[in-house]
Amino acid sequence: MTLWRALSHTVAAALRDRGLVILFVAAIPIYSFFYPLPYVTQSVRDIPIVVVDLDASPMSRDIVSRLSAVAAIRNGGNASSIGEASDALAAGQLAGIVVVPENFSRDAMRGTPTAVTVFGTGAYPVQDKAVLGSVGAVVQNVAGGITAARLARQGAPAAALMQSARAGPAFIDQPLYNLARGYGSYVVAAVGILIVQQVMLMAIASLVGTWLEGRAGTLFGARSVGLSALAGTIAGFALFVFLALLYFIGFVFWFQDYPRGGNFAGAVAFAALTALTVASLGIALGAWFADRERALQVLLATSVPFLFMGGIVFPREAMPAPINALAMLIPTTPGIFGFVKLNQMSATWSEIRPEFLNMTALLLLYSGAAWWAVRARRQEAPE
Amino acid sequence: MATTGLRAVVSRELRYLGRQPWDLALLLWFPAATLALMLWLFSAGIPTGLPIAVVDEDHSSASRELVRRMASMRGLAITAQPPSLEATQPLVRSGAVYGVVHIPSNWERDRLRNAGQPVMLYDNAQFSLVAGLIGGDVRTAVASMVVERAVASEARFGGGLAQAAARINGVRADLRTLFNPALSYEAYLAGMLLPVMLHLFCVIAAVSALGHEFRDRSVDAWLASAGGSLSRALVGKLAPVLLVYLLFALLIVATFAGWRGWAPAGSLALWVVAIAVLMIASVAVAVMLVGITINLRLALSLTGLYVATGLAFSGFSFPRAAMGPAAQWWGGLLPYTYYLPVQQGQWLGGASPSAWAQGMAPLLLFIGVPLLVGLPLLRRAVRQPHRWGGR
Repeated sequence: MTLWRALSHTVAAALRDRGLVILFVAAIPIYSFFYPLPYVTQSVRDIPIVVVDLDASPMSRDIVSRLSAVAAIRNGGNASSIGEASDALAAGQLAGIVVVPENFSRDAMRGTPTAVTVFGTGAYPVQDKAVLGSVGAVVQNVAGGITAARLARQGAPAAALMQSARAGPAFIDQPLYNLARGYGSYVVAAVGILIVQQVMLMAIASLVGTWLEGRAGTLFGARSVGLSALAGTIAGFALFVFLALLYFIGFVFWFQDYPRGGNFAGAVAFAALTALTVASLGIALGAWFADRERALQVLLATSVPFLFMGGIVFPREAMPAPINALAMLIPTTPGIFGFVKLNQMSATWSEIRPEFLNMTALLLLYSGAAWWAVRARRQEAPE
Repeated sequence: MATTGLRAVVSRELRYLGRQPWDLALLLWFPAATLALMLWLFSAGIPTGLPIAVVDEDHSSASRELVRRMASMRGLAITAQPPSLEATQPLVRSGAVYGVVHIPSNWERDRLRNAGQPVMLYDNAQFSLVAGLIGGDVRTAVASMVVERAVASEARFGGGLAQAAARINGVRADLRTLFNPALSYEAYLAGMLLPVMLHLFCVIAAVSALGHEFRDRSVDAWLASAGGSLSRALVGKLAPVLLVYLLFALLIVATFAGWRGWAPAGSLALWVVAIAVLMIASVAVAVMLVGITINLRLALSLTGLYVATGLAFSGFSFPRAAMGPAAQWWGGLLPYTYYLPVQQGQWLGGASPSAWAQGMAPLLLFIGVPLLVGLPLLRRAVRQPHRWGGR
């Protein structure tokens, strides 16, 4: 079978399989709208806190009213004691408790050390960070005003007070690439690549498994199968993977308004390489599973481990070395890093050299594995 | 051997697993290996030594002191000190460093003139968790110097350094993290991911056990072994799956509460009951998915859509209160969304039994409702042989 015939047969078979065409064509668009849904707001907002105001002074009410202006949190009201609120915090119904102590205003005015205590919950670290960060900033602002008033009383020169009031911050934390620190921009840029790999592996392995069951298709139907038939089949499947990747980095990132298009030509080239690798792995898995449904059973549960092994959510520096080595066998490991670097970080081709080399090695490995697995299956006596 | 009845269904199921190494692996070995891998992955707990670059253009004793303080932070590793900000770009883009600290020229001189310039941290926000950790550590290092200098300057009003420090810190924000105060990512991520993975594995296993009968057109033999009773056939088929996953669930609880040493702040028994209910709900959801589709492939596809994406909608990282209405609504239809706060409450928080009961009520619905939907559909499908065999 010539390469071109194998390619066109493969594409036709994928489109004609009434069960699998959903995976080949429809699943990626469905997931592309479904998966980013939780992150449409991009930043943490409206998480519930309560204030325990034991001072009930104009100063404490000033803090409460400033808190209501913070987008990240929603003041769920006042509690009369910490005990009243702490069970709700433990049960996850609250994200934080702000306690203004008794005599806070008096102590602040006469210089007795006092503190507004903010409790967050380490059971939900993202919420903890948002509560401590935003409430801490509000309290520091109020404290700054109190300190300035006290310094003026102590006789500090007005010019110096003006200068320090107008002074810029001592430290600025400036995000790169994901300039709004959007949660969706960070998660979906990575998970989108994973979704493409997982859906396409399921589709390809299921179709190859179906061919093997019925001794049909480009790989198991013909009398003899040469390298050109395998190459054509890989290319045919890779076409679907390639289009799915382009759909994500071209349409989805634009539609969701994520950072994108940093090195578009590089990303397209890397997508072609990734597509061939995923297609080869799909064929190898399909020939191994030899069953139409097996790929779904196996691959469904691998998405979460693959994502975390990839090292973009949880850093590689914190993972055991053997897991990092194992992760290099998964196309998404160089894939997610490579695409995030090219699309979001505008990396040049030489700056993704490790990902390029890893992906190329995987292409060689998995196309070899596919060739070996197909031949091994063909030598088995048909049932 | 009993020819019909519950024991016959169970032994038929066990014989099937004995013949099909793949199905046995999907039930047992694959979940066990994956859970162990995830536990190992997060075993470091807190990421340390995250590489950053520092550009010191000030070259003063103060800037060198700041670099020393950053180098002493456990979370940071200064791996490069290039001469200019431009030279750091390739380092960030190639992923060699997660961030760049820039100390501008004349930083110390301008501070002494009361016209201080800020220290800049440029962090790679595509790596959100890492950027947050680096940001916190660099901020701490800078703040420690800023506070010391403020105290030294305040000391001119008399009373020495100790009183000056007391005055400077007169009104503080006392920021405290309760429950998992070290923010261990092992407790947080492994603690949430292991149960959701188990939930997913359990649904896949139950869907596979049930769905293959329709795929293989073996419904008649399956029902015959149960003496024709569908409910007995279902109990016999799903009991082995449930038993395996209840044991897995106990193993997870024992791992966290025993081996890793995080004793539950609430009640161990209530936590165990909750995770057991999640497993029973998983089996009920599988009955519903197979009942709706009567097709193994479609039921597995729906498992992907309904269960595998559940994590994102559950609020385990990005809080539910911050989600849009569509995502909040969908998250409300997933059992894991309700299990999560119950577990965190009993394990880490020490929530009251009444809070537990409040959280469990909706979780119990995920046993009843899927069965109410799924059972009538299955009852009809077992009498319609023309619908069997769908691939």
